[in-house]
Amino acid sequence: MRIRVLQHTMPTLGQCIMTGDLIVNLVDRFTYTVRTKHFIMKILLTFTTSLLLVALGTAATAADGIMILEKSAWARATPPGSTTTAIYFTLMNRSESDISLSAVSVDISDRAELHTNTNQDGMMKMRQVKSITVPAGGQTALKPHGDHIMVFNLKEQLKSDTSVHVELVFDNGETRALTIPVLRNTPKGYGDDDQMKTEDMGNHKKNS
Amino acid sequence: MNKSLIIIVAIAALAIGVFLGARQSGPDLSELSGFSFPEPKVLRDVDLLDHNNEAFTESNFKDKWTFIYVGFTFCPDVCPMTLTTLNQMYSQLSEADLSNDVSTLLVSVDPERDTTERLKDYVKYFNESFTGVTGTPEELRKFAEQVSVVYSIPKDRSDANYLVDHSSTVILINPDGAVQAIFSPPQTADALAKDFRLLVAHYNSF
Repeated sequence: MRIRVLQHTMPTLGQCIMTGDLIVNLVDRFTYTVRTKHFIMKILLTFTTSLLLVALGTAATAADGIMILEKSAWARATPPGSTTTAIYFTLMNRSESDISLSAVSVDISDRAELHTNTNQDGMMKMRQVKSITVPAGGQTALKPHGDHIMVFNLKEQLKSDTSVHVELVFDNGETRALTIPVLRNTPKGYGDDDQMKTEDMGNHKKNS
Repeated sequence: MNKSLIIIVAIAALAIGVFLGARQSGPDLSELSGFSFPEPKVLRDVDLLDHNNEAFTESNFKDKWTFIYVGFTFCPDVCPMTLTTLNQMYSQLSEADLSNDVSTLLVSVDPERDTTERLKDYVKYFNESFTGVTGTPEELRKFAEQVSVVYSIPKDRSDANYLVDHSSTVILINPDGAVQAIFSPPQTADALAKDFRLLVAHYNSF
């Protein structure tokens, strides 16, 4: 949540200019040569500009609603001959409106779909869904026995300790790309909220 | 005469008391995570094929405990998840020296795609001791019914990646070859191992 902390301590545009003016005035009073004044002005301008840029950059990031809990992401290693696997992760929505995951692609196959499992009529029924919604201010966990990314047509066995590159598209236009580990066993405590509170993926490379 | 009658009645009462006491001293099954049948039903007319292409019948269940999972190998989520859980449970039982008389089966209800060869590779990936079993659609249907499992193969199988709906339960067969207990999803290794110990102790208390 580094970004939020930054937001709180970040001066606003007005504050930057005001502070800049104040310093310039002070400098004006105590500067002996125009040359020095010019030099200090230049430094101040650069400083203010960079502050502004950082503030703008922060605002842009905060406008993005989706965050992926990094430690929650994994793909299941496959037995020999198996051509299907599943990918799991937890999505957080920091915005004030619902956001849906609407498309997915992976580097290990040409066919990846959004699926959900429901326990109905005494059977686990797995069905493709058009999207997976992450409620405003909430989170949605893709996990075994629930929503997941279903991968078909694996060309070769997916071995543990390798990784999968995943690209996600959301209905608000956001995209995310992430590289996730392939694990043989279901991570211990998977689905346990305490174990899933990990660093965010705000720094993940974006694909826009 | 009266005296000896009283003594006989007293001894009989004591014997009945001891008998009932012993019956009730078995483990408390109320804490099971799964469902245990009060009167386990013996499996009959099982006519399946194991992953070595050998006949698999009801006699394969005798004198050991068997965990059964009914699924298919093209299943990406619940089947590998449950087999992983069963492997973790098996490790726990091994550590406690309890796995000697335990066998674990994956019964594939998708014989069209799951050849015995494919099944063998698949189950051994999870645990060397696991056995893959399949059969004809008719025999599978009969078997599934006896272990309270329902499944549904789609009529349209034009997509080579078709999915099979199926109960994701784990079934425990006792050494009499009878359905002892059923565990609903999602199962955990800890709960299964704990329940197994209770059920074995309960079974041995009779």
